[in-house]
Amino acid sequence: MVSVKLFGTFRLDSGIKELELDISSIKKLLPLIMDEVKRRDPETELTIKDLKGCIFSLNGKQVGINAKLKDGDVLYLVPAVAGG
Amino acid sequence: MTTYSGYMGKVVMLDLGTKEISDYPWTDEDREKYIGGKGMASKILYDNLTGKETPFSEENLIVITTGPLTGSGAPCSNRFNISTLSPLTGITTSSNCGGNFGFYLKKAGYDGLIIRGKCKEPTWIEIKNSKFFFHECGTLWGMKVTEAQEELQRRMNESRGCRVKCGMVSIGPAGENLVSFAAVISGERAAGRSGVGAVFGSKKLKAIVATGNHETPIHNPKKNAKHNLKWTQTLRKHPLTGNQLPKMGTAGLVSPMQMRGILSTKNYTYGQYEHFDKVSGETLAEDYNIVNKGCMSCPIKCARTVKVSGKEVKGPELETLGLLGGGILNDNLEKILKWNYELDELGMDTISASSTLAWAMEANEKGLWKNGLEFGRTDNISKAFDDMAYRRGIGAELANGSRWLSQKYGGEDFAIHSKGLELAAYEPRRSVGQGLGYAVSNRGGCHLNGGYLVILENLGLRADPQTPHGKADLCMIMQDIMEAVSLGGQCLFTSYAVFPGFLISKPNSILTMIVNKILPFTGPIVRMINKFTEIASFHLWLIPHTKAIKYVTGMKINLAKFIRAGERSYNVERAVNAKFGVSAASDTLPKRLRDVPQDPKDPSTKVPLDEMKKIYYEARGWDKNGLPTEKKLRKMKIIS
Repeated sequence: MVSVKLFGTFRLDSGIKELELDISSIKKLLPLIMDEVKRRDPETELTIKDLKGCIFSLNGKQVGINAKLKDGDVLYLVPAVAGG
Repeated sequence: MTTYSGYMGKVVMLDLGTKEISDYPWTDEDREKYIGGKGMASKILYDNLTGKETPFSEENLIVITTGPLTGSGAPCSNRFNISTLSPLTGITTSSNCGGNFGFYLKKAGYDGLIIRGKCKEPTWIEIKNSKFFFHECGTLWGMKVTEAQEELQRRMNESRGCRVKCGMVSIGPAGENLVSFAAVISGERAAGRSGVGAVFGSKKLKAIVATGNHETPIHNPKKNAKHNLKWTQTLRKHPLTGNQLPKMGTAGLVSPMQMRGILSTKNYTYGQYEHFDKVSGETLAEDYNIVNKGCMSCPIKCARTVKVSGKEVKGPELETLGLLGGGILNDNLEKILKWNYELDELGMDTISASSTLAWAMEANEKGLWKNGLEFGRTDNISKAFDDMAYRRGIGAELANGSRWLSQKYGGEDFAIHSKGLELAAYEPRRSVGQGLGYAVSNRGGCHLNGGYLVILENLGLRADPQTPHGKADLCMIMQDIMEAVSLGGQCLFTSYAVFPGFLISKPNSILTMIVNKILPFTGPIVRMINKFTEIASFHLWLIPHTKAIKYVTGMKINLAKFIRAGERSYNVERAVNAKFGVSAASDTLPKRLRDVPQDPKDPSTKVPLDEMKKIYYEARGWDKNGLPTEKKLRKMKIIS
């Protein structure tokens, strides 16, 4: 299983902090997250584009959207939007 | 007097010792050159300080200024600036605040207030429609901030027999006890950094209350209203000012900073904190935030409201979360909310107080100074802050900041400051342009005065954060733009909307990646643009500030004049610092950030400061010692 942790406004808007999924790549993962978001809120305004706009951090290292996933991986999805 | 709208046309000088009040000459030519705010204040300091004054001397000035947009209805525009000599750094400082005092200072009839001398007894001042009233503090002296402000409101109401609409600034016990990083507070907002509150305290000035019925005149009300509406809509649609900041505030940066390795951890030993999520903006929003609030006329509303001991109070900003979270290895968010409230009530800068605390913990760990403070230990923090504010026990020395302490006890390598001002929570070894900004910033280790290059390197955009390439020129132009934005009286957050939204919301798109790749190579282009800025004799939709100033004041302003005003402001502030001994040697960072790689396996993870500094001075047209030459000051029309 891959442990997926969500951050930023996507987490606040979807109400999803963490998911455990059996999945082999980030590309395959994103639609699954969206399925869960829509299951919880069919009228959500969130889209897969919001997920594609994230920084992907796999086991503490930044990776691209094409990265493969394996059992035991921890993946963080964090929006890059910032300013303080 | 002035021929321009947007201004009240009066700047006043007040001597606290003699109670003499006089008009200060500030001409329309000055308004065209400096616009207002910090630029105006720096020019006043430049013209009046000789270099012999000390922060607590009678001759030191407190200059409080507004901008032409203050009170104009422009979004995020009711800010004011306080400039003075800082007791923490010994050089000029400026502290910008979103409280309501600026709005009411203009209501009272003034664009700016210059204070010199010292009161004989603790005093608070009332300004009503260009008239000054000096009141003895009595029991007000000694009160914490909220209690003091409630008491001031009560006294104002009692004297008029009705509820009085007014704006105020006041200090807490930290300012009274001359804590080097004491703040001035207006409502819930702070002119927090670099000890302006201690200068108030040294003058025995507890508070200033302003009221009146003057209106800020608007040159073209119809166009101004239309422009403001459109601008507000732009801010609301932007992913940063319309989504992230309203929903999470600056606290939303904790997680992206963790991902990029720039979250100060254990007094800047590391850039990542394993328990970051427990003290993140997300957890703050999910578990503690009651409602988001904004300053007057702000559509962004980035402030948090939380509950502490049953009271609804202001929540922490990113810097406080970072420095009182990972910075001292504390994963208890509830305690940070409490400490943040206590610091506000005592009237202390949360950044310097927290960073000084982290230094003391490391000094204790290394056996340099036995003080009982330890990383990860939280039961004695409230007492340490209280002791700082009242200068008791170890607090008497903590109140002098990390530079002073490290000079006494050793440990200068890990005293995380520049020019005496402690750095904000952005770890610069993985954002080297931000490191340059911290080092060369006029007021010391300030992320904003430093040009906030972290937004180009890590947060938002992703220009190679380890390369020094192009960073010096980008730092200069970012500093000038942010400086210009503040001159009108506006929040710097309006400058973030300058970046097209898609660059920030789609970091993995091809276009964003191309921009990221190109940015480090834009140095010569930026230099050329800066040299021939006058070509930009137009308005640019990305920077709506120029049109706002035009519609409010009637001034013939354009993009070129606007950016030049920012550059002029930065240069005159530097020229004040030159009088107080600042030079290239002052533009530095602690050894930990310059010489020790954050990742021992990656030598690029440190700040190559000397290399960038040299190019930065060239870009600025300063001499090798980092100072503006007479020729430069003449060219900038700072001197004639």
